[in-house]
Amino acid sequence: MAHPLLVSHKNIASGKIEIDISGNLTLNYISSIKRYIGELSLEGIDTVDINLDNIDNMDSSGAIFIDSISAQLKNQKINITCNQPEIIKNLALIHAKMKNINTYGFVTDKHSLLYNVGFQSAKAYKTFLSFLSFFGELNYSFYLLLLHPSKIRYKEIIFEINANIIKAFGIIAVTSFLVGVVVAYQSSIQLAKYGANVFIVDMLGLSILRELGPLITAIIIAGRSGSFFTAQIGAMKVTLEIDAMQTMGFDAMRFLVIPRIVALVFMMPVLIFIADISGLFGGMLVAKYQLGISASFFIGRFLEIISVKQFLVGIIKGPFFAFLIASIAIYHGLNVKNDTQSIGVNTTKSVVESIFAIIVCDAVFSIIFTVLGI
Amino acid sequence: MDYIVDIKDIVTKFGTTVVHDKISLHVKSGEIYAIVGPSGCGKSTLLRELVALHKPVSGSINILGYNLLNASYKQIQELRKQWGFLFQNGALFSSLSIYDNIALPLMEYTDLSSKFISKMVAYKLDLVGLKDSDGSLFPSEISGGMVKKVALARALALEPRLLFLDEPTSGLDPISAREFDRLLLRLREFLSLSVVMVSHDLHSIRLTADRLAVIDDKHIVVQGSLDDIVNTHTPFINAFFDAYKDKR
Repeated sequence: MAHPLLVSHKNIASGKIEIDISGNLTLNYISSIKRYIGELSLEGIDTVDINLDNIDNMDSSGAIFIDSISAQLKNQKINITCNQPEIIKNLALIHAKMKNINTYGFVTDKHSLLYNVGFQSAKAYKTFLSFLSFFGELNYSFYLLLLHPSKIRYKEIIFEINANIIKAFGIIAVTSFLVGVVVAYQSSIQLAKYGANVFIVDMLGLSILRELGPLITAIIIAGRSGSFFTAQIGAMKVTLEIDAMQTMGFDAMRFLVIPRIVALVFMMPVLIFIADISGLFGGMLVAKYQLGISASFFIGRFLEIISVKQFLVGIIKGPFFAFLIASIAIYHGLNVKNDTQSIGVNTTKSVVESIFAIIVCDAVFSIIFTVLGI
Repeated sequence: MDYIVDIKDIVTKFGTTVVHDKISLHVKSGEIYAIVGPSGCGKSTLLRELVALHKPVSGSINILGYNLLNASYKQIQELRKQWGFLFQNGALFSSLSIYDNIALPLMEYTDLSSKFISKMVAYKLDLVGLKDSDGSLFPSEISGGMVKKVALARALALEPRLLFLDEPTSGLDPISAREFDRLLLRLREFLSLSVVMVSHDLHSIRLTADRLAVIDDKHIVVQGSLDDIVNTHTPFINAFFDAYKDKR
């Protein structure tokens, strides 16, 4: 940028002004010349001569600016002069082009509230229908696989079990251990007030086995495997891998969807079992150091009070939670559109919706168990 | 110094694999310069090195008067406003509309009014042969040929003096590819651009390139006009330019 832009003006006759532009009429200098012209006092001036004789360089933005200068100087007559044929030619070209160009296409439509409500409702309804269709397709594929068990992708299932279940052992154990500690610690203070120390065993046993173990496991798996499934399958969608599989005759349901769902559904109880044990272990430690209840006493009372039924109530929820997590995550993954934004959006949706679904499902189970008196 | 791009003794390694062994070439102002070579010879890597996406092990790169490898962050930022890069797959920002893709650099680097920017975007769209109504579409909604055109319009947004093209005609049908070639020639004349491109498209090279360099086996085998290249004989050049010889 050896020659920056120079603008000057002089009055050459009454009501007539000459603006002299020299140097580089390029993108970086347009706003400064625009400002300069904006600050001119144009009272009583009806003709503006623009002199471009000393322009060194003009790019297309400069040409567009000169072409549209009449928009800024509405009340004046404008004469543009230049002794460089090249620049005159470019200005004429731009002028001819800009006449046919309008920028109306860039205005995005704004809609009324009613329209938006309707639009969003229809969209939600459509999403629901498409999930039902996914659900139906899933069941049908599952049925077909049951008829031909040799077509089940056992290798994939084992791989998914390793990635989603076995590798989650650590985080599940640590989290539920800490939750056990927290619950036991909080309640031990209250129980000690009433001298009901021994009931810590009942409390921990019931709450961890029936509710906390399954819920914590499900929420961690929703965050871990749910987001993984959505992002992975979504990226496969964007890179057209799923289309490629389809053209080669590899059914996405059989290769991608069912192995993941089966792995989670069958192995979720194992994770819940681990969550139960480590949660109770955490509670037992607190009981010993906070309430003075020895481990042997804790276990003795536990065996006496908590029946196997309580454990099974928690475990039975596992496959249902797992199915919700996996199917919601994969559904959102398969619905990723061909852009990076929708991978993020769908992953968020997948995790939030599956946690919501888990809690709704848990509530439904509570009602059923209460009615059945379990 | 009349060269807009001047590369000397570039050495590039990935791990222990040597990709470029002392490559030197120069591009004159206002010319369309093509780099050809067998796949895997490091053409795209060379292009990435020219726009500071990748750093060579040694050598010097002079672009638009800056010494790229010793330039400060501020200088490189300044350079980045003076060149445009067209990626092979367009690399449009998928969360932005076509209009916003082109307007983004203008909004970020200039303090022009949005009205003026929309005028410039409309002009750039027209320049690459798109309608202004295409501006509200998103990258996922347009065809591969349109993606290239939008990517070109985006690369031209800041009125660059130097344009890098990575396989500009790959993935285009022959008609769109020739259209692209003519567009490139028109732009070069109209915007006084210099162009460095990597290409596999012999038609495109013959139509547009003033000079070219052939990279093979880590070295520049030959640099010059198409005739100079055809008269040099290596297995790659013989195979690649056979079609050209037949048509002459």
